[in-house]
Amino acid sequence: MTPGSPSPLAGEGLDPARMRRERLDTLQRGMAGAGIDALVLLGLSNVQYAVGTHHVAGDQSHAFSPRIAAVVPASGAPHLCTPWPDGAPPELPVEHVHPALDLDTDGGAADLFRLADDVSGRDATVAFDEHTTATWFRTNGTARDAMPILGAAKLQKTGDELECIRRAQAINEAAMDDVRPLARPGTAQTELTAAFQRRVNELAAGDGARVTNAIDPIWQVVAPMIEEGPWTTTGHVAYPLSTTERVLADGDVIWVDTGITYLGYASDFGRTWVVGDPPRPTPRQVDQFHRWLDVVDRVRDVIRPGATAADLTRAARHGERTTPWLPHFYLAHGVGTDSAEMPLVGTDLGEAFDEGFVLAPGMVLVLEPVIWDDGHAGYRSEEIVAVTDDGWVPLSDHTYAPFG
Amino acid sequence: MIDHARLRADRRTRTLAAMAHDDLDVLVLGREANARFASGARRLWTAGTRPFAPGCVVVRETGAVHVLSTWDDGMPPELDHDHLYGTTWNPAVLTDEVGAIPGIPGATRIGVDGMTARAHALLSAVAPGATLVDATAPMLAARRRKSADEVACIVHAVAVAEAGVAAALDAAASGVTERELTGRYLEAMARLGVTTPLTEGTVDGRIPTDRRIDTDDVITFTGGAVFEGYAGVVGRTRDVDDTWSTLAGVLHPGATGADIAAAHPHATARGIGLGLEPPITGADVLEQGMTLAITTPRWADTVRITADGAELLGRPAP
Repeated sequence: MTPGSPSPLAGEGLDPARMRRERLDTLQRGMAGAGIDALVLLGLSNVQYAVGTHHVAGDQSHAFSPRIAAVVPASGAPHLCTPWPDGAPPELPVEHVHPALDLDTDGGAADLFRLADDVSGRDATVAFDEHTTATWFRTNGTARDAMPILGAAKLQKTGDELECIRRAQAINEAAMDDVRPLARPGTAQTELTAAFQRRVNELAAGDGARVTNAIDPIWQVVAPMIEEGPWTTTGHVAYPLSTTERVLADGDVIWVDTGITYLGYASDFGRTWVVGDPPRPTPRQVDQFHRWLDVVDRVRDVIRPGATAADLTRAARHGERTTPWLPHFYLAHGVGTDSAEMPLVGTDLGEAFDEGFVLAPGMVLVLEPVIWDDGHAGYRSEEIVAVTDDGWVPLSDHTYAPFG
Repeated sequence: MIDHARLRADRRTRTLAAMAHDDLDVLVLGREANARFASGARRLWTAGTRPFAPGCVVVRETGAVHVLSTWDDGMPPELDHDHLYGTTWNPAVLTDEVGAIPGIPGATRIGVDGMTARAHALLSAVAPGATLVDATAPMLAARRRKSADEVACIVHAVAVAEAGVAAALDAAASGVTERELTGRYLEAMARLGVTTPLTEGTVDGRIPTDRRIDTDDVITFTGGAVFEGYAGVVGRTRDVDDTWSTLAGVLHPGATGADIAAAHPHATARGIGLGLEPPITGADVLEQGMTLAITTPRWADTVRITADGAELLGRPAP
């Protein structure tokens, strides 16, 4: 497993203004190809991609109203409606920064349509990423869908985008170095969250870039047998489950999953820990870990431009009695301004989809196989790689302790 | 004492009444607040927005609630397993799942609280004869006046938020950066068992920066917590004890948004419950049982409109 050459996809430093300029160029090329004059974007991750604005992260209800929105014209700078003008990128002209709109009201929707008209003309062909009911019923369902353009633009990352993911992951991982020793008998799951949140913000302080939390951190105690855990539609393990004040006990196997964002780009941290003081994985658990590592090694060995998603699933399944990932998820997923985006590998989109999906440089894969021995729980961790011109480079770099 | 079964039953009754009032055969809900109101389902908290998708389906004829969830963890006990449909990456699978819900294929009026091109294609396939109807306003109306159980959830959220904001202001006195206040605030709330913030918190109404706070700076930290889905908002300024009491005289049933603006030109009032609700402005009228988040540049509080006035759902500023 020799990683591919790192250049030109990593190690070039980070230039956020260049990143924003290149993303906008990519989007506007896609719009030209699809015959679309303006994008109207309501989804936070899409506005993040198109404009690169910052916000105060929060619960979904808070993010909705008054909400961030953007209008992207065929050429020139985008327009941003935001409750956080202090988060607008410095190069965005002040006359392109507008107050936030309440898009759950007809008045707010009318203001957004007026802005789109002002930017692109009344006869422009407009595409939306998603709708409130106020914007949907105003279009009578006639607007185009912006998601194919956004999906295509986001798929292959620039070096700056990869560096954002790497930095998000580095901060997330560094915080975990301080949280992991706290996973002792008697500690509540919520206490781990408390320590994680404090440490992430301490580590982010001084970096100068905006860091937010993306998901309620998960420290799920995994029952040894599937039938001891929650009922599922798939008959497999229920994961990830919301954190509670459950107190950890000696020998608990916990599957950790957290994510933060750095300039809008998500990290994805996954590890299996064993609770103890000190933690003492059993020989069987250590064996599970090594089997997991074998799956990751086999998959990474086939990652290169031109490989298909099916090449990855075949490599993962090779020699395994059962499919080594969770049936409601995937063997691997992409990450960017969304925490799970294309490429999706090994999902219920099916084998034909995987056979037809070809890897290319700049794509990002979060590998998250699962080794499960019913009756003896299992091992799950995550590793992030970026596809290079001739192989892959890692974007994650964290200990497997207490498994070695 | 919160009676969760009673809370859910009451909300389901209000949901079905709203459907009857607007003659909706089916509700297809994508907003987490609406889905939670109708179903009582607790799903994983994620930050930011999610595009509309059929996350919860309510059928008026059967009174049945169906929820998008791969497992029964976090689902109320009255929700049978055959009323759960699993998450999928495949639009065709989701179309089959939603199309199999009794009451969907023959529906003539379907209420929705958002839309995407993909969701529109799905609904057109499973209910080709149905008219789509805006359910945003009926759901907000059903949610507007809170039951005692709902108020108890909000009171808990406010108490947790008070602790978070106090921790942030304590840290400010020790000369850390603005950004570290976010960490202290989230840490304090998680220690009280709430890992779901309403927001990551603002400093003087804006995004926290890397600026190091002088120990004699007068700063305002505003945040909120979400408990059992219900939110409470708190904002405090160190050494400033001004709070909602400046508005207490104008908050009562029958008062309007204009009355609030006249009494405090920098105050904004929003409904609050399962997250934020619309602002109270102009001719909007306060009703008994509404709960409001009131925010000014130097404080924020959560209050309930009573029969003849308003009460603070938290502790007065020290």
